[in-house]
Amino acid sequence: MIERWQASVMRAFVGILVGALTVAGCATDKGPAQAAIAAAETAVNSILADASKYVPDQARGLQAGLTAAKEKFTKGDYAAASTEAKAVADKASQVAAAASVRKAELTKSWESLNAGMPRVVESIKSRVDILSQSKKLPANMTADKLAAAKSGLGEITQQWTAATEAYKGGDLAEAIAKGTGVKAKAAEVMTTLGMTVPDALKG
Amino acid sequence: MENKSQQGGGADEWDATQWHVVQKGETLSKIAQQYYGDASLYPKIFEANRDVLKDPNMIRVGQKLRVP
Repeated sequence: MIERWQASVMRAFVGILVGALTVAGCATDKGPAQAAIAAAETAVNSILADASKYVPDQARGLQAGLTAAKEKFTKGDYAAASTEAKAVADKASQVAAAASVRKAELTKSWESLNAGMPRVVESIKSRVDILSQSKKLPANMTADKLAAAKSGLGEITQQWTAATEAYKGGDLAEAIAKGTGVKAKAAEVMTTLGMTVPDALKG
Repeated sequence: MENKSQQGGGADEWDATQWHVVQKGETLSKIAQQYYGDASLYPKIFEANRDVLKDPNMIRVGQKLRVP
């Protein structure tokens, strides 16, 4: 009878001990998890502006990772939260590097566009102006084609202004997108006018 | 435009200059007629080529002229 009572007390004691150790273990993990999440949040916030602009998918991935780490923390899974947060912080530096590479690529594209497009526009404008003064249009040119070219020149000018404004506003991706549209339109107008299309406008 | 017209040389892929290589029997008026449909607009070509032309009546075969 006494032996049975002793075994029962022992089992209860072991159970309490295991429970206490688990709680203590979790409490020990909480602080580091909190610190890891804070560090990940700082890392993400420091690169988020550029990452959202230049590598938006990767930026969204980082934010999702941070959210997942916070959810794990809220559920008390501190070890998993800590692991997730550390992975997010590591990933943040990779995303920052990718954003930097993409920014450099876009900047190079923009510089090329910005150096070349005004010359193309000037060339088209010059031809349109002269043809507008002509008493009779050349072979392969009709009044309709000239009217289309004039209208196209208006679009080009407007879109190019929008592209340069996007650039000035810091939106390189939008500037490139608009500039690429201008390239296509310029090639179309030059072809309509029977002009030789520069290589940069092809393809 | 046609085979007499060509892009300027060099590696500038943005070069939008329109060129014409002078053929035998051509004058600035004929070139203006070809590109603009109006021979009287030849001064436009002359002005664009003042660096190589001193006289609008003095062009030579093979000369490469800008056609604005």
